Amino acid sequence: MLVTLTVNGSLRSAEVDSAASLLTLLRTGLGLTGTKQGCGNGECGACTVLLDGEPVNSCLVFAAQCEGREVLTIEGLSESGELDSIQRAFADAGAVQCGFCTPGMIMSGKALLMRNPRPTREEIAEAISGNLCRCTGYVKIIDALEVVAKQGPVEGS
Amino acid sequence: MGQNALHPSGAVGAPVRRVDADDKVTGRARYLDDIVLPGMAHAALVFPGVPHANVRGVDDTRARSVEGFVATVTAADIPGENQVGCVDRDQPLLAGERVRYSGDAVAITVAESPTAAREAARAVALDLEELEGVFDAEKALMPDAPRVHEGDNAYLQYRVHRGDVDRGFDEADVIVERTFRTNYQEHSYLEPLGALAVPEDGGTITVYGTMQCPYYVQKAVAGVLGIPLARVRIVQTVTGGGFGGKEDVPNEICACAAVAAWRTGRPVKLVHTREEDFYRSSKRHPMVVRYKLGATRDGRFTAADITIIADAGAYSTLTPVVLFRSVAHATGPYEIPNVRTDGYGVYTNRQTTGAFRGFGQPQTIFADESVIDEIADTLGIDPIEIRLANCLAVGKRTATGQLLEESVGLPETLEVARDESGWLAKRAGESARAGSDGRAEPGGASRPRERFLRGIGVGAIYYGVSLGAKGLALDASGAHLNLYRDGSLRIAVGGTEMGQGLLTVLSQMASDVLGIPVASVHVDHVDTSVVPDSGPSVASRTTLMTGNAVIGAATKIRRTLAGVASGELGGAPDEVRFEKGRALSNGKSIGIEELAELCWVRNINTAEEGWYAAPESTFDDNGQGDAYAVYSFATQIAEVEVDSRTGEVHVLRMTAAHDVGRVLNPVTLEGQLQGGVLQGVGMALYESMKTDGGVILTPDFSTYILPTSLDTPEISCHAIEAPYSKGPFGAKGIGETPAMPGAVAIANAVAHATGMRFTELPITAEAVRLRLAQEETA
Repeated sequence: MLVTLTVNGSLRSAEVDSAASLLTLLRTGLGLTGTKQGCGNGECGACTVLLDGEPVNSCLVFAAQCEGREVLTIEGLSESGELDSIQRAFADAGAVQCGFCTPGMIMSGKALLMRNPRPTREEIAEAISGNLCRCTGYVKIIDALEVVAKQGPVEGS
Repeated sequence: MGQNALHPSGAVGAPVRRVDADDKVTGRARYLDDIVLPGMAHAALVFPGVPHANVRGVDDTRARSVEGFVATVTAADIPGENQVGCVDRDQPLLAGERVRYSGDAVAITVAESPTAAREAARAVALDLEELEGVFDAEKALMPDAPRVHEGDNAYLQYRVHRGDVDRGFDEADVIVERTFRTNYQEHSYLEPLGALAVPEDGGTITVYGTMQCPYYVQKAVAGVLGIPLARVRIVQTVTGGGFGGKEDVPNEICACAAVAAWRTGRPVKLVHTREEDFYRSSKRHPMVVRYKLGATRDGRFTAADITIIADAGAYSTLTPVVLFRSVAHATGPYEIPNVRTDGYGVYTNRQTTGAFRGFGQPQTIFADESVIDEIADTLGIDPIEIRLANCLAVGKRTATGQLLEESVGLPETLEVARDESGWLAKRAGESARAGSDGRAEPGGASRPRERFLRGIGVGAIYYGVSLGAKGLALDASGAHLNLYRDGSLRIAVGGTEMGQGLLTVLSQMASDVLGIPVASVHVDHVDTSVVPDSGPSVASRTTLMTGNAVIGAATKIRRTLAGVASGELGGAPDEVRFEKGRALSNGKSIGIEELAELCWVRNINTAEEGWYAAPESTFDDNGQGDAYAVYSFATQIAEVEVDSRTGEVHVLRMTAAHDVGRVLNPVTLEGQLQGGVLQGVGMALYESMKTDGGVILTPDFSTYILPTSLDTPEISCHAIEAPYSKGPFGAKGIGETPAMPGAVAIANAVAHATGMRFTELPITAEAVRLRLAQEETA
């Protein structure tokens, strides 16, 4: 079936299987491989994207449900070639190690800062608690998001 | 991070930003599953569904009718040897005759999509004759236990025997003996195992994969295809975590993809689902450790008698090297004159076990550090004091009789962790009252029970860096450095980046040797066709081994540049200094890029090879010798709060003090420490892969519980620098030690809080609540 949706600001269409997930649509249908599959069951958060501004595990959303909707992926944050503030903070704070959780983690952080520009450390920890990271112990990830929060509102908030 | 680092003027020691950070935060970094090639097919594995069986037949008739079906590959289709055993040759790639565990692959299906490949795999009919299995290492030792292989299930033994253990116990005033049990811990790297094999011109094959040890993979692929190593090229893709789990298992994944690609003549990708990954990947060994320790009244250890039973699972894989490390380090980092350690590796029909951060040590550390605390309690000596009184230091000997001559920062790690955590006040909780919030102060065990009990506990460890005497693999590493005519440097190495920050610290080292900016350096992931076999990226050896190889090659290039510079500027070549992009001599300077261009113009080579081999190590039949060239040391202190109503243990704060030789990059070091600490929290409180026969009851992240951001305690990290004379800029390995002392420090803190000592990990809320209930009833 053909699904048409807005991805990172552009209208895109892809032919997908009726049982395909949004994750499959993005990775296989559109070649946007920045979004990762860590479990396929909505348990690890590596596939987090924003669907109409809300964070979702894209492995749990049917592609067909996304017809006409708006999706923001990790590729949409730095389209001008420059890192956005969250990406820069992750790189500067040492919040990245193996990097496989990073895109999903950044998207969860983005969703948090869009709805709550001044989160506490506890609110940050809560917001990324659905994103597993096995390398960092989460400390520097929380540090990075705290840095961004102190810089002022992020785009989309 | 608190540290006494001496920051040099250059990149080494500075908080240099990760060189791969931009790729990773933008999603540009290409992991295995992100690669798509024209004509690519997809593979899936045919699982047996039972843990122990004879294979009588494989029928793919129904699979052939699956839309998109390409091929079925069975053991009979393997052109070379059906064998991928990493140390012992006991592991067929495909279980053509006998299934020994539920993760064995009986056949491979290939199709046009991953979904079709899995559908075809499920449609393959297996004719299996089920056999009785054995699922417990202690039961596997019984004479009438089903045999997993031809010989005894107890197929492997290592020992360390030193002094006179009986006399040592006679000298003891107090003896404590306990049996400890730990279960499977799953690596849970976020990127699942995967490979992409591509048949290429000239009868060669290239295999891309997520892995720690490309040279192991090269050997495995050449073996199953029956072709020379020179026709096999392995390219490591950006690797999403390893922790030991991508040491040997990628051999199997890559070999499966290679056989399927060879058979079909197409690029074939094989990527595991998370559940397949749980079934197929190796784990931390479940161990039973019987531990007996004697000490004099004044707290001096006199003897240790230790028996270790390690569940190897269905195949030997890395158990020989893991068990060697368990046995060599089993006493903990203490000088004990009389030691008898016997370790056994035992086959069962369960998931295989291999390398996991700590490499066979966290299980014995749980035992030794628990028993030491019990002895300290019995004698009324502070746990840190008793450790300081017995711990290794320069001039002392390990259990293998090795005299330590340099780089032993253990006493300082104990002292720094003690002082930074506020240990003395918190440990002396007996005199403290309940806090104003109604919560108990530490040491709550000795008073009427409050709901929330606080405690503080310690764990100290040592870790032999690199492979050691029984590492059973090449212990040398190579590097190829190419300085281009514009002064930029490209580095190819044999050690792998898996998230730990290798590419960054190597860039820093080369930058300092050649005086060029880090931004002028690029380090590639491993390509086995470029750099000679460099051994595995394991055992905290990569920064040390690969770092030394890079420094060696960079030094050769610097020598070349110095010769040219002294010709241009005057002065002696060996007095030329390199810094901030320029060579300085005779009061004048010249840019490195100008020097590089001059070399090009004058036909002077500026590409060099580096090679570093580990110093010799020894381990005789009684386990005596210089087992490892150098050791890393660490102490971690845990502060916990136990909810006596629910049994939940909450880790409030961890203090980690690690002797790393020399800090190369404080930010990446701290990241390694924090991540390792949380893996220790997981091992202590949550992580336990449960099995029933051949079935994994916890094959996903809903049932196998990992620590989340909400479980992260405050983590206070401290680097101790006791430089290693043969280390790169004095550094030692740091990969493993962060994950080692934390679990037992938490267990000791729980004992301090509750008065209850747990001898099994993880210490789940259920386990705590059950013990509290038993105590209340009693």
